[in-house]
Amino acid sequence: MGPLYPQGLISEPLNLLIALFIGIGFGIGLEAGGFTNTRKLAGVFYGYDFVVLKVFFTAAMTAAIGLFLLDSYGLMDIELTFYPKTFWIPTTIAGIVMGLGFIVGGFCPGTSVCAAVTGKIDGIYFVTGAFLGIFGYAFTYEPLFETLRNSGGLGKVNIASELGISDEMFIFIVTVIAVIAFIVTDRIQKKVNSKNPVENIEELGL
Amino acid sequence: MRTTDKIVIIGLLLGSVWLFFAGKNAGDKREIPPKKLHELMLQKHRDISADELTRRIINGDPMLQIVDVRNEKQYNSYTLPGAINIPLEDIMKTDNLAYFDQDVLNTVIFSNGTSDAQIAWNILTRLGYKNLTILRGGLNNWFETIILAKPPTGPYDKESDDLYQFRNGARVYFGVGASSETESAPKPKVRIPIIKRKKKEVEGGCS
Amino acid sequence: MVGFKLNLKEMNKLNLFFTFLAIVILSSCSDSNMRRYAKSPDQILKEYLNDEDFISPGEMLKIAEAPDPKYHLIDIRTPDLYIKGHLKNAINVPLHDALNPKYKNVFSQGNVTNIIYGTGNEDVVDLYLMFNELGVKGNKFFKGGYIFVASGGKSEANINDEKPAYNFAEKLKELAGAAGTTVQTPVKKKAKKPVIRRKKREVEGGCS
Repeated sequence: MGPLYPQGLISEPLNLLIALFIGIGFGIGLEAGGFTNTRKLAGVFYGYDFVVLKVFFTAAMTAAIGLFLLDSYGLMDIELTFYPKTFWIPTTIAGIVMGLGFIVGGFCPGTSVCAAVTGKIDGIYFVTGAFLGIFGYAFTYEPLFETLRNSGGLGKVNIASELGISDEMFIFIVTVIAVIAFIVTDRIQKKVNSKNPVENIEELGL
Repeated sequence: MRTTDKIVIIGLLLGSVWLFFAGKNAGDKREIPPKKLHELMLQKHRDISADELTRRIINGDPMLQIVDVRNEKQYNSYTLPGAINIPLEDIMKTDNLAYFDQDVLNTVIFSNGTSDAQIAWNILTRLGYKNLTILRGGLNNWFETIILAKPPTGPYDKESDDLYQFRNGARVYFGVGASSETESAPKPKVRIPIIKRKKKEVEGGCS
Repeated sequence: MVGFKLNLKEMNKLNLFFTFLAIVILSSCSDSNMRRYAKSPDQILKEYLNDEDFISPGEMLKIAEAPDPKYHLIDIRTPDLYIKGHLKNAINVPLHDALNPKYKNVFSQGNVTNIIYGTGNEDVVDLYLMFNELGVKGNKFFKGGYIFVASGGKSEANINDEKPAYNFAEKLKELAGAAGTTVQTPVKKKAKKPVIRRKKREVEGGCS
């Protein structure tokens, strides 16, 4: 069966329609999880609410395990899925910039759109800022950013093959790390909240 | 919230362990599923007739690649023009597999009969290689059909007669005179096929 | 605007339901024995080269003449050929239908060994490969074909198709001599080791 669109099994309009529904589900999930609230999102950095970490780790591991299981059972061909080439220098710099933006603004790109759409003013400002940044980058790409963006190219890097372990082993290790992270962050969360209680976001009616 | 957390954690751990049991080894990743393989096996167009192959050899088809899966001794004694030798027992060596790792040439696999060629075809198709055909009847049948071509019996039938004329002409190509003519065999021009590497680099990714 | 929130209990139930559904779907897929190979390509090759599971013409003739309850004869030719004539007590399972689940009991019978024959080696070798790949046991194959057996071993049929029917080089020389031509030795390709390309099909992708 495999990935449907790259193999031409579904047409482009259908592909986009499915993408639309996936996006709707994503938005519902974010909003229902309270991810349009900046205080909840920034909690990761201050230690009083680790929901962001839990959700993203869970999502990533579910996707990884699910994909590889489907591949093992012949329902998917994982060789046909895409992952971008690694350019470690611009990626590291961008990560730092995004991290700063996240702490300062309280959103990451996806959640900001969610918040903007639900009417949160800070969300709207964030999205505007993001667009300014995107257009600014696009128009100044050639003179300013091209060399940076193409530096540090390593081609398509698969961590499991780089480390010489099988894909399954790698996923298992990351799952274990995720589980440990859950337990540790729970402890941190309890400790931070007992020392410096932040009212439960939901009770604040935000 | 603790219970959902626990369920999620257990679920993820079980899932990642399950991977080990469901997992096929890395080599399998390229194999086509048994069902698809068996469908392909039962299709008739994985065969090529002796006449068709002869036609392609004589025309110097640049897309043709012929593989002889018999042992070296038989290959050295006689083989089809332009054929490369990959004995059946060596068919899975990485060096040899490289000949099939392309989708530009049309490969014809042959042996004396068909059994060995069938095995080779089956294994290679299973591993995901494409454009493979088997010489129907093998070298034995080819020899009888072309080199030992017999004139058609019975009432005149244009098709049979044309076929016989073609085979007779082919005999000349392979160095055996047609009837009682004494002209020397034409030296065949063996064109080494140019393997066009079609690398489709699709740009992807962003951000 | 206030975001809506699913009741915590309901969300848990929903999660569990979808997980359960996923597990059911995935586990039902693994049962199908048409999905997985029972043997690796190396094993298949090795067993074929060792001639495992093939019976000799002598054995085949013996079994065809003296029906033995230990053996079941199966004719995999098309029905029209079967009707024209088949070995005594042989049942007909045409090759193109042989993987139909309705024949599952015919081919895996435990203490009985099936002897499978067809028109010659082509159909039999195909079934041999399919069964080996799917892990179907208890079957032996005869490559010689019906006509050979029916004639009591007297027909001219080439029972080993991989035996060269002629000494090609000599026969060619002989014919060429008769015609007064010279045989050119076939140009053998100097096998140029092609560069092993890692064919990575670059697939266009998205981002987040």
